[in-house]
Amino acid sequence: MRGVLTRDAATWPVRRDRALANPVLRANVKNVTRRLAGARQRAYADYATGRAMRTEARDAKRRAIHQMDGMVQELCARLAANGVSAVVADGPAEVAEHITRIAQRRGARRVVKSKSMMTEELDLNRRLGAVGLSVRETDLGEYIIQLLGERPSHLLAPAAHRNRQEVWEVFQHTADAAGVTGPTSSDVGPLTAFARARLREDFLAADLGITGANFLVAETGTVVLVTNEGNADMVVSLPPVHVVVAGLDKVVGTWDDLAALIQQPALSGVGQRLSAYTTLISGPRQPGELEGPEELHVILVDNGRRAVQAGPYADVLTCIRCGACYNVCPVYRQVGGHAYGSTYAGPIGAVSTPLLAGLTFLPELPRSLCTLCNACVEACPMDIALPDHFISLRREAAEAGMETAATRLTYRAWGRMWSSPRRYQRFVAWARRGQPLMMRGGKLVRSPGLWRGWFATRDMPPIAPETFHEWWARRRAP
Amino acid sequence: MKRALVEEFRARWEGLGGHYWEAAGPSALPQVLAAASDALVDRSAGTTPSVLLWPGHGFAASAWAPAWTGPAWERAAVEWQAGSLYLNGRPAEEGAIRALAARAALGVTGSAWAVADTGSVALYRGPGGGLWPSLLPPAHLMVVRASQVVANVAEGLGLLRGESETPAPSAGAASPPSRMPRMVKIISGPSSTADIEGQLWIGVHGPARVGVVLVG
Ligand code: SF4
Repeated sequence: MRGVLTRDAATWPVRRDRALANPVLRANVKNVTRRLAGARQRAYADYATGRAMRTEARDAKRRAIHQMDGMVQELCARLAANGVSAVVADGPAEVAEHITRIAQRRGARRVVKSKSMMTEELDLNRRLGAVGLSVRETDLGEYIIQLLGERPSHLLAPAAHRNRQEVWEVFQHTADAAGVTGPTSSDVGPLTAFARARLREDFLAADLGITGANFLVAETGTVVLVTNEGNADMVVSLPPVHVVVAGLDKVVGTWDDLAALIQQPALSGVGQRLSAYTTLISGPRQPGELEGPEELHVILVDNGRRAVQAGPYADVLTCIRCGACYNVCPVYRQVGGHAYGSTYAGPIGAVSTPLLAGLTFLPELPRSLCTLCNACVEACPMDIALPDHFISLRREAAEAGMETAATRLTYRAWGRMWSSPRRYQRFVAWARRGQPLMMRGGKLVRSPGLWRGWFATRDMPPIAPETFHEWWARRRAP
Repeated sequence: MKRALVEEFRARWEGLGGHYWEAAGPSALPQVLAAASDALVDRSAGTTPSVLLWPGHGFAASAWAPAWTGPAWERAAVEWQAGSLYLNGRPAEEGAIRALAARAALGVTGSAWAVADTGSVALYRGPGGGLWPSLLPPAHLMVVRASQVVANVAEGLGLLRGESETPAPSAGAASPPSRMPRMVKIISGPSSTADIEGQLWIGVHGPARVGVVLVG
C-alpha cells in the first residue's frame, strides 16, 4: 500500500526560488551543514572502533529490513509480554484515531511531544489538533518552528533556517500572548532560558506524551531514544501515558544489533560518540515504582514501507535519519529542507519520498534535486546506494512516460548525435556555425531549447575555430 | 587495568563538560559529596538550595545524607525499605517526590555502570531508584563505583541484559515478561542544544551541570 505524505502546494520552481531568495536561510543552512559534516568526519577519523561498528550496524539494519515482518511479529509479542500495547497502523488516519481513542479513554487533553520525523510524516499535530488535543513540541528547534507555524528544515536542526533575531521576535510574541516576561535579549542564553521555563510548565501539566523511536529491539521489546536536549526524557517520564509512534523500519533484531547501532546516530549526525541522553524503555511502571508512565503504547506505522521493502529500493529503509547525507549534498546546502516540499529532504528525502508515496508524488525530487556527485553515498553510515537509486528512479520515470515530449525528443536526438564520433563531429561543426548568435563578450551565454536554463547562471567558452579532432586530422593528412 | 579504565572514563567525561571527583572509600563519600554539591549548585539566588537524594542501585540514602546537614541545605531523601519507598522516613507519594524534584537545586543518584570509551553513566529506574533527580533539577550528581566502570557501551549493555535474563518459557506458556529495568538512561554530559544558529548551549531542558563522584 502506498503511503500518504504531506506536500507543499507550491511547485518546485517556486519552492526553489523562494529558498534561493532567502539570505538568512542560506547562511544558516550553510553554517549548520558545514559544522555537522566536519564534526562527523573528525569523530570517525580518530575512532577505529566507531568505524568497525559502523559496518556491523549496517549489516544489522539490512538484516532487520530483510526480515521485517518476522521482526515486527517478534517485537509485538515481546512488547505484549512486557505489558505494552502494540499495534501496526497503515497510515496517518489510523495512527491519529488510535491516539485519539487512548486520549479519550484517559481523559487526556494536553500532549507533549519530542522530535519525531515519523509524526511529521503523518502530519500528526494537525490531526490531533483537529480532535481537540493541544500538542506541544518540546525540542527547542521544533518549539520555535511550531510557534512560527512552519515545518522542520533539517533532520537534526529543524530551525536551521531561522536566526536568533527571528527567534527572539516569536518568543516575545509568545510571551505577550501568555502574559509573561519575554527573553531579556536575543542572545542564545536568554532565549534558551525562556524556552526552558515555558516548556517546563508544559511537561509538568501534560497528561500524554508522544515520542518516536530511533530503534525498537525485537528480542527484548525495548524502545530506544537518542537525544541531546533531554526533552524526550521529560516526555517519557512525566505524563501518565506514553505513546511511541515509529516506522516499521525502526525494528532491529537483537540486543547485539542494538550494541552495534547505538552510537551511529550520534557519530554520523553530530560527531559525538554518544548523544547526551540515550534512553531504553522496556515497559510501563512496575508495582512498587513511583515514576514512569502507567501505560505504554507502541504504534508501528507502515505508510508505504512494506511496499518499499518488497522492491528493489529496500535499502532506503535502513536509514537511521542521521542527516549526514543532507550535510554533504550540494543541492541541500543551497536550498535547505523546505524546497524539497515534503517531510524528508536531502538525498534520502529526494529518493524515499516518491518511493513511499508513489512515483508521481513530487516527481521532480529524483529528477531535479541531485547532481550525481556521489557525496551522499560516501557520507552515509548505512551505505545506502543513493546515487544508483537516483538513476533508476529517473529511468523508471522515463519508461513510465512521465517526461514531457520536448524532454524525450531532445534527449533522444542528443543521444543519437553524441553516440558516434562522426555524428559528434558533425554536431560540433554545425553548432559552431550557429554559435555567434548565442555569444556575448567572447563567451557562450545563451542556448535554445532545454539548455536555456543551464545558461541562466552560467556561461561557457565557445567552440574553438579548430577543435582538437580537426587539428589532428589536418596534421595526419598526407 | 581498572585504573586505566577509570582514567579513560574521567578524561572522556570531563571532555563532555562533566565534573569529576573521587572518594577513597565509602567512609570518605559524604565529605566528597558535600564538596561536589557546593561546586555544582548555584547559590546566587540567595535562598537555601534543596537537594533530592534518591540513590537506588543498591546504595543507601542514609549513608550519604550527612553530606547535606546543617542550615546550608534543605534535604529530602527517598529510600527503599522492606518493599516500599520512603520519603524522609515516611511512606512516599508520587506527587510529593515529583514536586520536590521539580524545585530541587540538585538531584543525587547512584548509577548502574559507566563507560570509559564514551564517558557515559547508566542509570536504571527500578523499585529502588528513580530518574527524576537526573532530569528536573539544574544540577545532577552521580555516584559511580570504580568497579562499575566498563570499557565500552556493548559491555554495559551486556551487563544490563545479563541482569534481566528472563527464565525460559515453560512449555505451552506465553513468553514471560522481561525483567529488564523498565527505563534505563545513559547520560553522556549535560543537556545540550545547538538549535539556535548552531551555537552550542547547555542546560536546555535537563541539568546544565552534571558531576560524578567515583568511589574506590
Ligand atoms: S540516508 Fe544515510 S546519511 Fe542520509 S540520513 Fe539516512 S543514514 Fe544518514
